[in-house]
Amino acid sequence: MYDLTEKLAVFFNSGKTEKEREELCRKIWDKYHKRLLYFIRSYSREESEDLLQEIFLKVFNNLEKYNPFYSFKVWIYTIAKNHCINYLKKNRREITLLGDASLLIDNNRSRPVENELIEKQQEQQLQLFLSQLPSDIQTTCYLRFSEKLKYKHIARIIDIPVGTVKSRIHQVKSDLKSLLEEKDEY
Amino acid sequence: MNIKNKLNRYYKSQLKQIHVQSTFDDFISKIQTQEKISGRGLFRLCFNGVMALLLLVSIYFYVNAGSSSRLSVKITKVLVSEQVENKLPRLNGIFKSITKKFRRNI
Repeated sequence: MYDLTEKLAVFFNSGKTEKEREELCRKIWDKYHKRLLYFIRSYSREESEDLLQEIFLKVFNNLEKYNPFYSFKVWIYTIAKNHCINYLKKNRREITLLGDASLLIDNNRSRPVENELIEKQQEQQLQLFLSQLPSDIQTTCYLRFSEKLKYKHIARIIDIPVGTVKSRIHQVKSDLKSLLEEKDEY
Repeated sequence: MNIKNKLNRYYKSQLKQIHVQSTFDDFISKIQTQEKISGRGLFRLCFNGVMALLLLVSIYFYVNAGSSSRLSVKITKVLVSEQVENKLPRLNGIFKSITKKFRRNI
């Protein structure tokens, strides 16, 4: 079984039949739809699913334009970010915050185990902390800690200098560390 | 556990909780519907094109009909003038006879 990178390499090096194309698109969808939805939610929560579909349509229509020399993850996130920014410019909506503390609390009411509760408490703390950050810093954190992207790739996606990415990450880490230490003291 | 791992775990749990309503097949069927709609748009474009062509043809015939009517006016003018010219010798004769009678009376 091929993984996605190999699939893309096959796609670009051989003839592309309709079936191969659909299989590849399905693979991309399976791998990225949740991640992209989470990413899109930092820009618009209400229309996130519609935006997701529009982004995938853009991605699938422009697969030939993708250069396999570069990271596919960076390419897809760049498309997503640009699409969201364009959408916000057109609709002049305010950027919603990535974290939603109420969602997490509601989803986890049915788990009474003590350890899990402590973990969830920590998660809630993290969520509260992250939700209070500006959306561009939230996006930076997500790309760094969830997608494990390099600083230069994050800088390319968000279109900011590498130094800014580094300083943002450092700031978040130190703020979070001090916050968690405070909580532990209490 | 350090901050990096905590954040990593946090994002993992968040991603697990995310539920996307539409599947890949829903997405594909939606695209196909959109393509059908755009096909309808193409049909509408063709229909509008044909209608515009018909309008142009009708304008062409109208203009031609106008010019032919103008031509017919010209023709009738010519015919009338010809008729007048034909009748002129007769009128001239009548005029001459009147003047002769007038001279005799004098």
